[in-house]
Amino acid sequence: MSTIKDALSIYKRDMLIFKSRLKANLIRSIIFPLVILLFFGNLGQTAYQVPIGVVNLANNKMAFDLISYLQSQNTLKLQTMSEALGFSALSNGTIAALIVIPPGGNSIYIYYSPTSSNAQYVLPAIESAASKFELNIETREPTQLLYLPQKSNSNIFVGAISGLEINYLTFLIAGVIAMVAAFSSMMNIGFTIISERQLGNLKALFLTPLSSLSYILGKLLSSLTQGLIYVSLVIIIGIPLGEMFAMGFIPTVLLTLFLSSLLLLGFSGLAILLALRTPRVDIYGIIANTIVLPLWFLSGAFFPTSLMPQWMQSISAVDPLTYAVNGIRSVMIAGTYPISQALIDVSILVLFAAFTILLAKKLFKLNV
Amino acid sequence: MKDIVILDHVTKRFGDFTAVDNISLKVEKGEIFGILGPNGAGKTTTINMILGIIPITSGTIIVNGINVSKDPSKVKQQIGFMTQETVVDADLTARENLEIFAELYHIPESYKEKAIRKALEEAELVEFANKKAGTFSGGMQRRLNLVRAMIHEPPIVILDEPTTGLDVYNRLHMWEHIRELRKRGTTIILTTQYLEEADDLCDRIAIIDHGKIKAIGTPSELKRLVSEGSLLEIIVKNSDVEKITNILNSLGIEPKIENERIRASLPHGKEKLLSKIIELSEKEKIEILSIGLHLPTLDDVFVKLTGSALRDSIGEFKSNFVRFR
Repeated sequence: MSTIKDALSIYKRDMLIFKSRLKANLIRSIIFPLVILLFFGNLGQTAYQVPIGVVNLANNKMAFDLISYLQSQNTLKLQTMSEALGFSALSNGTIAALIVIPPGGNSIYIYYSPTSSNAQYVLPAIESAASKFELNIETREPTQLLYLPQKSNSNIFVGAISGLEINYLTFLIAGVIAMVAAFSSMMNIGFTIISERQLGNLKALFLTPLSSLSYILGKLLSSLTQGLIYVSLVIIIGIPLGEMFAMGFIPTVLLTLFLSSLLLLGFSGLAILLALRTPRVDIYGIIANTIVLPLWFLSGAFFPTSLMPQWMQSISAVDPLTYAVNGIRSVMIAGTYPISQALIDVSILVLFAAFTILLAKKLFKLNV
Repeated sequence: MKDIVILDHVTKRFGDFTAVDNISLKVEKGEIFGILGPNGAGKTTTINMILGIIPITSGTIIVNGINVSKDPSKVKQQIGFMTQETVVDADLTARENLEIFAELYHIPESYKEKAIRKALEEAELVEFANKKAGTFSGGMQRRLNLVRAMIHEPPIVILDEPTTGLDVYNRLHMWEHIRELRKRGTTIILTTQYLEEADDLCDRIAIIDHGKIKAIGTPSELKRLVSEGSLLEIIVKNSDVEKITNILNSLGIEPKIENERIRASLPHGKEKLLSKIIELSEKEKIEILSIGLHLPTLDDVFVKLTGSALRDSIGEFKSNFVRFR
């Protein structure tokens, strides 16, 4: 009982400190994501982009990877749509080509209008993407419809919002959210703990009957709260930049915050663990960056993991950030979060959080 | 129970460095107990062990009947501790600082508000209660630090160099506060680098060096260790040192010579020899630059027991090194 009460006192203390530096905290927290979104996100904006449509009936990893890859191509302007809308868009020339990813199989179908010069231009790009994923391609003119979805598959699309533009910026937002979660927990909590130790505040706290468990819980809670505020800011910044809420606004935001929370807890645990064993702020900064930056780049925040060489992909597969980025992207862009994928993402993130937090508790050392 | 803090053969090792070496001491209830020693002597380590924030290598510490190793969190309720450095949460107001610690010390909700008000009054910070502690002067922060450390009204208060870096006003205020605490029956353990402070405030003093207790007793008991009588100090020109030494020897005094400074202790009742020394020196045409007789101070005790002045930078370096290894 007193464990929880003490943890709440630590939480209260941290939040009062956070509040007293609110403006600086908020400004600092949005500079990095804002710069990345504005600069990276707009890199391809001036290039000529050919609109193409995607009908995703598969909703599996392959389909998702393919879409992610195509999104990262700055020459293409992707729109997800229902099959009906897709064919009508193709016939009225709104899009230059339509990619249909059927459920299960290892093929995709590309429909295009032979009269469109743009189609000739984008086909090689799509074909090279498909070959990357070892997919068979069948190109057809709209009149030769090879694949027509069965009615039963239509309900996959219930949550999908058709006709939204997907560009690199929207692709990037999920990665930036994951980054903000990882960095805010690593940096805030780590630097706070070390400077608290150097100033003697840490010792002062532990002169009271405070237990290490209460301290860790309080720190986790405050890091979680602050991190969620920062993540929410990025979500708000993302709206005018073309962020998507493919699952509908509230479910998208809630699921994004949920996945971010798991990530925040995991990295906060890691931060506590490291900060209590690192004597100086500058050394901690080096260690934290060495850990988080590679994890971030390997997570597919900037480009689909399928583009990486095999050895990087293997690292990416054990990177907790990968699962958070994938999850958030599924929710935001694909609009569906298949339960099988969700189970994997969530369990890996929970395992990561449990591991770092338990280790932080086990290896807790005051080092006054 | 007369002895409120008992250290029984306590040893602390960091790796192969022994910071505290088999120390035994007892602090009586209601006294002001001073711990003196050069930096790196083991004062802070000893205190940290009493506080239960670093584990003891061997030995036992009993605080108010509680074994520190067995029940550290109960011991923490018994002790208020103020560190050498002033530690307050600079981003919090004085009131918030006190509030958080009142909660962490589990002061009952019904009494919390009263305890905070009382602490603010004691620290003379009532009108600054809602100002951030970071904006306070050094003395104000120190006072806040002290009342925050004692908000749970503990029977024992430990102060690590409580007046270091304070101006005269704040130092006197602190001394007054410490005496006030003792009047209320609080036992106080303090370390200090000011010998006159220890002399003035402390009922008993332990002198620690290299992790060992060199002496323990009341200030006058300790002074008697140096000399039963008075201390003689003469300064002459280098060329006259030998002559004056001869004079002293002829009077049956055994001097200690450091360059042109000659020291000796005069047993009780032999103070009259001073005029004799002056007389003989004039005869020998020795030019005396300075001559004096004084009762031993704690300084003399300290130099005699530890062989060093209080400030010892090498010791400081060593202790930091050990700490961060």
